[in-house]
Amino acid sequence: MAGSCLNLIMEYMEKIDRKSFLINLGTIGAASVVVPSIFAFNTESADFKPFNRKVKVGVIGCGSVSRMYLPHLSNCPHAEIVSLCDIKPERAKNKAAEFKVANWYPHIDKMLAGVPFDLLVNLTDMQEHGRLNRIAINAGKYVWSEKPMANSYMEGKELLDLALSKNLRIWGAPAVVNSPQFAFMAKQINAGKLGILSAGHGCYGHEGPNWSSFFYEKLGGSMPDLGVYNIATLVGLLGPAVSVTSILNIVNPAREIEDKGIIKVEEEDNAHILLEHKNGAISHIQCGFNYVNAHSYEGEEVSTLSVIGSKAKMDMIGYDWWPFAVDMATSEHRKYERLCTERGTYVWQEGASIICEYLTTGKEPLINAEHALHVLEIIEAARESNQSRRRIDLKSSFKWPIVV
Amino acid sequence: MGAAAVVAPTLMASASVTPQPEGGFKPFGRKVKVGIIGCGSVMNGNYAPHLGKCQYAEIVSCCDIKPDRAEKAAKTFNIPKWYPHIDKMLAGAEFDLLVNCTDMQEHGRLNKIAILAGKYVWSEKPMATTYKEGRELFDLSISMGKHIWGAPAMVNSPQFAFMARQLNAGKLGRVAAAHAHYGHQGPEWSAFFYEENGGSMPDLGVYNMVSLTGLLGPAKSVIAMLNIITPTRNVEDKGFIQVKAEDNAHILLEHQNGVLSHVQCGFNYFNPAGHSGLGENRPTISIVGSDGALNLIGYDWHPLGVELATTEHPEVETSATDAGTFVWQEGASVICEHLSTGKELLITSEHALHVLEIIEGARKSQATGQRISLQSAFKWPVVV
Repeated sequence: MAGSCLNLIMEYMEKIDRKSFLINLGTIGAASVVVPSIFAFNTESADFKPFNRKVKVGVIGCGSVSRMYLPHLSNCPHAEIVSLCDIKPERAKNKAAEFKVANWYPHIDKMLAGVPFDLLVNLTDMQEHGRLNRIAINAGKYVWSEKPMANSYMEGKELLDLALSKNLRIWGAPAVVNSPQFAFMAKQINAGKLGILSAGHGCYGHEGPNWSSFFYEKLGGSMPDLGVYNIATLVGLLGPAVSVTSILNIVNPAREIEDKGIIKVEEEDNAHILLEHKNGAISHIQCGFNYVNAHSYEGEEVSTLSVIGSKAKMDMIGYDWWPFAVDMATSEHRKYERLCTERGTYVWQEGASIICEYLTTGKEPLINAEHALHVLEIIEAARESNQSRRRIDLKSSFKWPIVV
Repeated sequence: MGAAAVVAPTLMASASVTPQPEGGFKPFGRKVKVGIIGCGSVMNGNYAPHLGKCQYAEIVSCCDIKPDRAEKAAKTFNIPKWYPHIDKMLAGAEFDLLVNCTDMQEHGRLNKIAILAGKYVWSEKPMATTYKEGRELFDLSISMGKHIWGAPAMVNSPQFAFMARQLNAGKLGRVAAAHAHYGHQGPEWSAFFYEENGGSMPDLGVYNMVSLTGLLGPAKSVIAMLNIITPTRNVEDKGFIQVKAEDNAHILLEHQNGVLSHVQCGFNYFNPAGHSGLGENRPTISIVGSDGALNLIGYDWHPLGVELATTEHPEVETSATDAGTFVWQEGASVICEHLSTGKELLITSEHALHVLEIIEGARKSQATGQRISLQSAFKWPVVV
C-alpha cells in the first residue's frame, strides 16, 4: 500500500518541469524551502502499535563498530540484546561474554533459528548489508543497518518495500540528523535566516582503516564509509538533490591490512562530489582515505561543513557525526558567533537505540529510510558519473525538512 | 610513488611552453611608458596608485569610453594625457605597455588592437573571452616580438611560495585533495559582471583556480555545476538587469598527478569579511595529503598566513604571516620591472590561458553535463 503510494508521488515529481520550478524558487527565496515537503512522502505505518516493552535485539557483525554500538544498546532502557552473531565465531563469543549477552551464533541462519528477537542490528562488512538485511526482513525482523542499507539504490528500495509489505521497517545509518547542531542549522535555514541558499561544502577524510579490507574492495570506498555523513547532512539541510557529478580516483593503489596483508585497492579512496539540490543550491562533498590526521581530529574544533546563503554563513565545528558547535555570521551580526555548543545525549552510534525507543514507545525518529536511500542513490550516481564522465539525474527524494 | 609522482607532469608541461621571441628579450634599461585603458573601479582604487609608485613605470596616458572618467583619473593621478577611445590613445602619446582594466568582455578585442599596434599588454582577468582567442592573442604577440600577460598575480605572494615549497618538498606526502572558496554578494557598480561571459568564475573563482593549478599542477579535466541564484540585479550603471551569467559555481578539477580539487565561488555569498575580504582570517584554501595538510589563511589575493600540520609535526604551525610587498594589484608593476630590468617573472601567460580554458570548460560542462578534457598546460612548478 505505502509502496504504491510512493510510486505515484515519484511519477508526479518526475512530471514537474524542473527548470521552471527552479526559476520560481530562485525568485521566491527562503519561502521555497517549504515547497518540496509537499511532494515528499513517508513510510510511517499509521497502524504501528508500539511494543510497550523492551525491544529484543540481535546484533550481527562483532567487529570494530560493535565496540561502539554494544555499550550504547546495553545502556538503552528500550533495548535488550538477546543475541550476537559473527562468521568469525570467536568474535561473537568474546563480545557475548563482554556484554553479558546470553546467546551467540556463527551464522545468520542459526541466529534466526535461535532465540527470538525483534530487531536485527547489522554491523557487518558494507558489501554484506543488503543480503543480510533481506534475510532478516524475510524472517519477519525489523532492521537497523549500518551504512549503506544495500549495495545499490534499487536493492535498498526493494528492501524498504519488502519491509513495508510485511508491516516491518528498515532504517539505515547515519544518525547525524539527531544532533542538536544539525537541528540548529536546519532551524536557521527553515526560518530564512540564511536568505537565499547557494552553496554547501563538507569535508571528511582520514588515513583509511587498516583493520579490514572491505573498505577497499568493490562497492567499498571512502564515499559509503566517510562521505555518507556529509552527504546525509547536506541533503538533510539543503534538501533532496536532483543531480550529481563527481570525480573519483585511487590515490594509493596498495594497502596493508591487518586481516589480509597487502591488498590491491579496487574502489575509490579519493572522492569529490557535487550535488544540485532541488532548491537551486549546489553543494560539494570531499572525502578520502589519504587525508592526514583526522581520527585524532575528533577533539579538534575546526569547521568541516559549511552552508552559505545571501544573508548568513554557518560552519559546523567538529564533524557532523561528532559536532561541537555551530559558528554563524549574519548580515546583522557580521562577526562569527559560536552557538549551539551542547551535544546533549547525541552520539553517532545511537541509531539502533533510537529505533528501539521508537519500537517501544512509538516516538517517531527523525531518521528515515528514504533519506538513507537518497544518499545511497547519490553514492551510486557518483560512481556512475565518474565512470561515464557526465552528470547523473536522481530519482529519489525524502520527507524534508527533516527538522521543523 | 608518493611525492616523487609530482615531478612527472613538470616535464610534460614545460614541453608546451611557447618559445620566446627570437634573439631573446632585451630589457629596456629605462622606465616603461604605460597607457591604462578602463578608468573604473579597478584602475582608480588599485592599479593607478600602484603604478604611480612603481619606479619602473611612467603612466603616460589613460583612456575610457566614458571620457569624464578618463579626465578625472588623469587629474587624480597626474597622468599627462587622457583619451576617449583606444584608437585616439594609440595615435596619441607613445607608450610601451597597455594596461587593460576594462569590462571583462572587452579584454580580448582591446588586447588584440594593442598587440597589432605593437604594444606589450598586461590584461586584467581574463585575457580574452575564450581560450582559443587568448591563445591567438598570445601567439600574435610573440610573432610581433612582444608579450601579453594576464592577471591574477597571486603566484607572487610569499604565502603561495611557502605552500609551493612544502608541496615540492613532499611535506604533504601523497597529495589527495584541495578545496578553495571565494564569494561575496556581488558587485553593484557595473552590469558586465552579470552579462554573457561574465559571472563569478572569471571574477572570483579565477583566483582560486590560479592558486590551485599553480600549487597542484595543470588540470587535465574539469566538471562543474553552475547556476543563477538571483535572476535580476540592481546595478549602478544600468539599473535593473537580467542576470545572464552564472552567479553560483562549483568546479571540480582533476590535476595531472591524480590530485582532485574543488573551487566554489558566487555572487550570493554572505561574507562576514565583506566585499573587501580584508577581515577574513579563516582558511580559504585547504590542501590535504597522506602526511600533511596546508591551509591558506585569508584570501589568496590578500593572504595572511599558512597553517601547516604534518605527521612529523602534528601541531598546527602558522608560517608566512608577512605578505611583504605583495598586493594583488601589483601585476602591471611587476611586468614593468621585467620589461625595464629583465627580472624573470613567476606570472606566465600559459598559466592564465590554462585557467581561461578551465573557466570555458566549466561552462561547457554545465551546458552538456559532461566532464571536459583540457588541452593546455603551463610550466610547473611555478615556484621552485
